[in-house]
Amino acid sequence: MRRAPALIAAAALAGVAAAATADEISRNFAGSIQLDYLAVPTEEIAREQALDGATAEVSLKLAVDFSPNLSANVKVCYACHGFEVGMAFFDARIADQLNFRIGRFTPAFGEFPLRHDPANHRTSDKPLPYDMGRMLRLREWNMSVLPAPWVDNGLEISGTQFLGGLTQLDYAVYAIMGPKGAPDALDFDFILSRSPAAYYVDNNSRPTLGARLAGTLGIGTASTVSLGVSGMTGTYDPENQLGFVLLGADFVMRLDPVFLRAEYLVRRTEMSLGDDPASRFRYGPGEDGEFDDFFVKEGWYAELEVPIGRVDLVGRWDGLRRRGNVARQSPLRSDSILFRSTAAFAYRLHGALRLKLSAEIYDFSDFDDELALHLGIAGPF
Amino acid sequence: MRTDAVLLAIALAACTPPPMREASRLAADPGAPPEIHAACRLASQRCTRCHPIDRVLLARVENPQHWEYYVARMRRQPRSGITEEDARVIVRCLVARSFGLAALEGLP
Repeated sequence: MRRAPALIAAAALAGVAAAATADEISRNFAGSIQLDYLAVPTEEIAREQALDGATAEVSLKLAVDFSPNLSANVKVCYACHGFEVGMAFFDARIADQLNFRIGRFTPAFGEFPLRHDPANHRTSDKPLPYDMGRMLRLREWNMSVLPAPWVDNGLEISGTQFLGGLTQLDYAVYAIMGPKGAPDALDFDFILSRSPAAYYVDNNSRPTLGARLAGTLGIGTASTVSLGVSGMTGTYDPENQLGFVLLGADFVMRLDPVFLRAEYLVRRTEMSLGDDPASRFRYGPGEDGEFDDFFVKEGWYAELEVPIGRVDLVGRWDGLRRRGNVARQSPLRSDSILFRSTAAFAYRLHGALRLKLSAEIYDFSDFDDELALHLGIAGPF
Repeated sequence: MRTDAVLLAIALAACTPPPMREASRLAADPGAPPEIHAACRLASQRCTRCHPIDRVLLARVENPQHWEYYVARMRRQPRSGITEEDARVIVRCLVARSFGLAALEGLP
């Protein structure tokens, strides 16, 4: 089973490469590697609450430019899930204001997914709203709000209106398969989205729709302030009974080499109450005698990145909050919160190769506080 | 487990070569005209909006047209900040760095 995605990915790469034989067609091969070691010194055995130890993240990307207005991209990733196809799409530009992206891609949502590649950001892991399996207590929290990169099949229409200098307005609208869950789900089942057992196809015959609007204001010749809002909505169960709404806002201030970033994500997710909610949930009905059929999950981060010579310093404060009823066996409460503070630096060893070191303090409302340490090496090629 | 982390740190430190080149900016050849130096400053500023400049330094291109297509693809990325005129200027920096000043004559 594991070999199938790898073979498909290899065939896709070979197919695109073979197509790019004409002289006027340009090909670019690129990639990145990150090896990160996560240690939790406050726990003797941390595996019960985290995927600690060494993790390798590898990406191999082939970009083929058929013309200045038409390109194809295929990216294969290898990490905790084995081989995955992170990109396989065509980009067609009609005008600055009208681009079509068709295939398998990360839809436009928020700011961080643009730089999710480990070689493109300076910490070993991702901000909590976008965490994909490296946070502590990932199972209890069912990971983040929107694990990044969220890769999905579909169509995206996007464009940019340049308004002079560095000022511009960007938009994107898209239709994708969307997240998946079981008919009696209480939340997304992220494994279903990457499991060949459930096929890499939509589970409910209806697309998930999303949009993004972002504005960038130029300040001088090298500084910018950007504001963006994103939204995504759809159903995630096979019967189209359980809906979700995901909203996000992001802010980026760039003062030449210094970046200040902040994002906020909130997801309202409907839950199946089942035939006997009293036995299914930990908490009883509300004052009206009814069980709430949804929960709300929020995530946020604020991050300052300052390059000083060969070193990039990063300070980050992020968190998650979940409000709503929980499954009877869940250790979370009806209002659980997590704060995390991170200090990190990335040191340029040689060329593009960086040593990454970070310390994270987890402040859980429902569990003991923890310290996590990351030591990694990352670089593009 | 902690021993593994310490060993990894030691191994990484041992691999660090003594002389290291600063590569946070695209630098034009010292003998290049001011126009190319300015173009490379613009390229450094625009390209690092989404990724480290390393990505550009490591790109393998075969001819000047390849750079035109490459920059056009980057220009399509959301919030790239690369206008059509910016793209033309950035390509001049990249072509001059990769193929020399003489190759600029072939550009549109």
